[in-house]
Amino acid sequence: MSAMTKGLKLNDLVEKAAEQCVMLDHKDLQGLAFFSKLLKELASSFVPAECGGQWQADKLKEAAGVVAKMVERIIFEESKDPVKDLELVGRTVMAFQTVCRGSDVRRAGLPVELGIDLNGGPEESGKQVNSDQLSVSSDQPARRSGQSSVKSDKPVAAKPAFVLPPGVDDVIFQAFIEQQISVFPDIEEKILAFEKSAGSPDGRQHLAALKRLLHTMKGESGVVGINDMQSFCHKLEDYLEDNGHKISADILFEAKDWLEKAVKAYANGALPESADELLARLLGKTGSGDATVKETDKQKSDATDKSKTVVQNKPVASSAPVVDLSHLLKSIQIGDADLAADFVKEANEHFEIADENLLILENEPTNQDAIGAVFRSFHTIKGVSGFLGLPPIGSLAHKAETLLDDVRRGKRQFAGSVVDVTFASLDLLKNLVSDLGVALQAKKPFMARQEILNVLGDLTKVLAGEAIEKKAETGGQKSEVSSQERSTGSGEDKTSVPAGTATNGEAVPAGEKAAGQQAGAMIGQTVKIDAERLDLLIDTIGEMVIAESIVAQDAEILSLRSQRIEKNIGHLGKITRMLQDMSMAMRMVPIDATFRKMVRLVRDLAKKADKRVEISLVGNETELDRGMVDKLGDPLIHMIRNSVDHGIEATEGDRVKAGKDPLGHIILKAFHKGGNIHIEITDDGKGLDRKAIAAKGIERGLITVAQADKMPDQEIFAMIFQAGFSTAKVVTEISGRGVGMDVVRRNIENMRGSILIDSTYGKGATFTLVLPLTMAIIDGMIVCVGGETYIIPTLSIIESLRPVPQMISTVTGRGEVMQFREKLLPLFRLSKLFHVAGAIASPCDGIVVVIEDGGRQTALLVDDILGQQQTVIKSLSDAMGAVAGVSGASIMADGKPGLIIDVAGLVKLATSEKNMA
Amino acid sequence: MAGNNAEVMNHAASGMTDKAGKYLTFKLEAEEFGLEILKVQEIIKMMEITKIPQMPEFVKGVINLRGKVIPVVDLRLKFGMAAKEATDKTCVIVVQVTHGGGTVTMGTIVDEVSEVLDINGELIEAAPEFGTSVNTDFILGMGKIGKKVVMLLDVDKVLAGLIKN
Repeated sequence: MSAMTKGLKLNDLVEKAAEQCVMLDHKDLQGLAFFSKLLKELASSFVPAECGGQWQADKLKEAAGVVAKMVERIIFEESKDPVKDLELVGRTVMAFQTVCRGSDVRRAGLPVELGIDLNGGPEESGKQVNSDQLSVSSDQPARRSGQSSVKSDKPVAAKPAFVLPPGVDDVIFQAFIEQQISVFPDIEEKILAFEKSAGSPDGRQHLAALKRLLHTMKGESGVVGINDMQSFCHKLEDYLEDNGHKISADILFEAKDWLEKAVKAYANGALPESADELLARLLGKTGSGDATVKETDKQKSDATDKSKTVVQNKPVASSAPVVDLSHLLKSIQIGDADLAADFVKEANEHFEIADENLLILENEPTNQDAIGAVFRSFHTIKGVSGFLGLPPIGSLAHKAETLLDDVRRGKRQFAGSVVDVTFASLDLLKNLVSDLGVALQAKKPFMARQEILNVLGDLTKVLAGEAIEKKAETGGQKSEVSSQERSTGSGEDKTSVPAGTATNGEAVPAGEKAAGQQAGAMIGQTVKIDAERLDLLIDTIGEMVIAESIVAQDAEILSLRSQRIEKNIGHLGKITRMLQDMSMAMRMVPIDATFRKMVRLVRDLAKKADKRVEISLVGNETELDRGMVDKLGDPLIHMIRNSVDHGIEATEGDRVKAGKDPLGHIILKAFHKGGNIHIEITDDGKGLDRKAIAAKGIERGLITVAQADKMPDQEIFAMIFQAGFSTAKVVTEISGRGVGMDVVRRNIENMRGSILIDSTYGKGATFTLVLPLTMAIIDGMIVCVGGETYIIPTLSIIESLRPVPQMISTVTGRGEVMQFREKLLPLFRLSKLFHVAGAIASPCDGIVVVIEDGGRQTALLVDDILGQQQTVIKSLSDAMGAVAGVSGASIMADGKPGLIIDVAGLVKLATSEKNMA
Repeated sequence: MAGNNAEVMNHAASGMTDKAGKYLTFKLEAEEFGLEILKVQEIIKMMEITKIPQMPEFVKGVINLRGKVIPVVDLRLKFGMAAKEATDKTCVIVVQVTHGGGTVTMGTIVDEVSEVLDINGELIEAAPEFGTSVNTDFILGMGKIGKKVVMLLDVDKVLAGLIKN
């Protein structure tokens, strides 16, 4: 730390300051003095040429001056809150770094507390070129490793252009994005759970879980260089920390939404909108709370974060070299056993990578790829263990990572003590993780080995530049070092296996799950497969199923009448069906994620409508086709919105008057039934008013008065799905049902599903979506007309019959009608609709298929029914566009494509043709 | 369409080097046509076609190409020639048509597939102008191979109309 000359470039100076900043402690007067000198020098180094203009340079100078004074005050013990002030200094230095990387000073995130007026100033664009040069000239990544910098936070809005930092490639970035996207549902769930249980101990746990999620996100976004997300998460963490039970779930939701948007923006290579406004509100609220002590050492704060959710245990007696590390030896209840099991699996993979690359490093100490790989392994382990609440593993990985970061950036040679301690850390990590695995299997709390204190101590020494005594022997045989250490440390090991020591009165279950739930998680095997390949596999299996049926039904083969061939083909058929079942299973995903989104929706809608509504989810584990999950979202949103807005009574008073619980209930339920998936949306609101709907139907000429009396409820209710049925006036009359309902119907029909409505006026309503399990396979009736074959989805067939002449009558100018169960149905000839020649002439020679579409029945005349079959749906080529009355094609047993009839489209086609005639 | 306007050809004597390359030639009636070989996926024998309702006459329907359902266009009908029963020589040329950002696989029925020709740029002339009455948009150029003239088709444009439907 001695060499500090005027010759240093601005960039290096800022780097140096940032580095210093991490180590700073308000009691370390020497360090502070050095730092204050550094800041002053920095202030004089902000020259217009280097900072993109006079104005910027002035502002930076001013900021450097302010923080330099602040540091002086800390030195002279004049500061009221040195820790907080230091934190502010850290943020300022971070802002300087951002400026060095080419940001405008206004967007670099200078802490507002400095009181520097950033209004006015020249246009930003002019400085771009200059600053770009600056960042190019910097030979080191301007940002320190995300983690070590976490403490010095930085409210950066956005850099002018987002560039991946060195050492982060697209793959890592992609993984980051995917990881974050997968975290959001959890965050949302935690917020909801927190809101529900605010004030209770449960609430605190949810909050802690939320904090862990945010903390991980902060760390990870730091690594990939997304500073605004990092700082946002940090602020949010502070907010959670400071405000405790006063936290508003609304703010949290807004914050979550912003983060989600930000991730999406970054995923598209764009920059997210500024979070300043949101942050300002957040800070505004934070300000009211007590300023919290911010740990200068990230690792410490890490540990304190977690220790709140950790089982407090009597400290295991230890002669720890570093006093404040003893908490690491506390036993830990594992919150989520499944996650922890995944972690064990994942960590082992990382160990392999680290091992492999460390060996490479031994031979080539400067191999950047290898060092990067080891660094990332440690980093991931740190991140995940932090998330899981495993401070010992986290802090060990963190220290080792910090060391490796130095190596990566060329500040340290990978030699001597550094090598030894890295290997020792890795070996210890392996042991810790394997202990964790054992603890999981035994359903016991996890406790770190005492050894950790030694290794951490060594790491700290090495980080401080001291050499450590070599344990065991020479540096060549690293694996032996570990075994040596293990055996020497075995005496301590006895104390580190916790067994029943965690049975303490003050035990608090970790995470939101009760300890009892942590079944001995099996460390199962999963493989990540590219979705495209999976689709290809499933497609190919689909084709094989067709090919198999073509062979099995081949007339020539059948004519052989050979028992052997029959047996073999039977065997082939069996295997084919097994494969088909498996491929179906691979497509299936639980509906859980879709359902969970609805929880948030209900909450928001209820708030907006000033109602109290509770939603319960049933059967979230029900699986359905991956392709349908997305398509299901929209209709569900519409229907849930309807239930909350119009289903549930406007005021609680109304509900009490009706003898109901003032709290509205909505149940979202999914289950399998008869080869279909049923999704029920039940509310205990007003229900549908049959009379009002019938009256509207009569008014619109959809039904006659006589019909209205006879029609079952189902059919009356189904009218609300008619496009435009719910005009503004009707909304009030029929309790508003029908808003967007035709959209829902169309969506569901596209998935080849149907909707049933069951309602008792005044009691509530149940909407049931009946959907096929998959969109890839259709259960269809094969019919022939002329020489063509068509497939009619079984789901929309009511009945097939051969009509007798009395049933058929011709209505002048309106075509044919058929009497069916005391109703007159319009009779359409498929041959006419599709212009097929050679069809039967008299309806009584053919078969009439009664089809239903949205509660409306129609009779369709075909020549004959050939059979029923499950067929794989193929889309008609894009080239064809939409063909009215046809939803797709399927390969028939003879290898020829057969068209699948789109019942709704066909009815439409029929009515339009009839009108033309 | 088969007009062989020498004047126009000479006029465009500069040739069209960017159109040079391998072409698959085929016959419709007595005329020779060429398709860029890069657009051709495969040639298959005529197979049974499933009719699609409400399609223009030249769209014969769809076929099952190893599990994929692709539309088939009768080029004779598309070019206004008389329909003809399929013979042993009738083939379906499966082509990849560029459509929007992606490609669409389609079959085209032709009377007979001839050969693959490597046509030099200087042998390719711009399509003759017949005024507005005849649309020559879908002709890339005219290839002169010995005494023959091969009409080089821009398959994207030939089948573009169908895609729009």
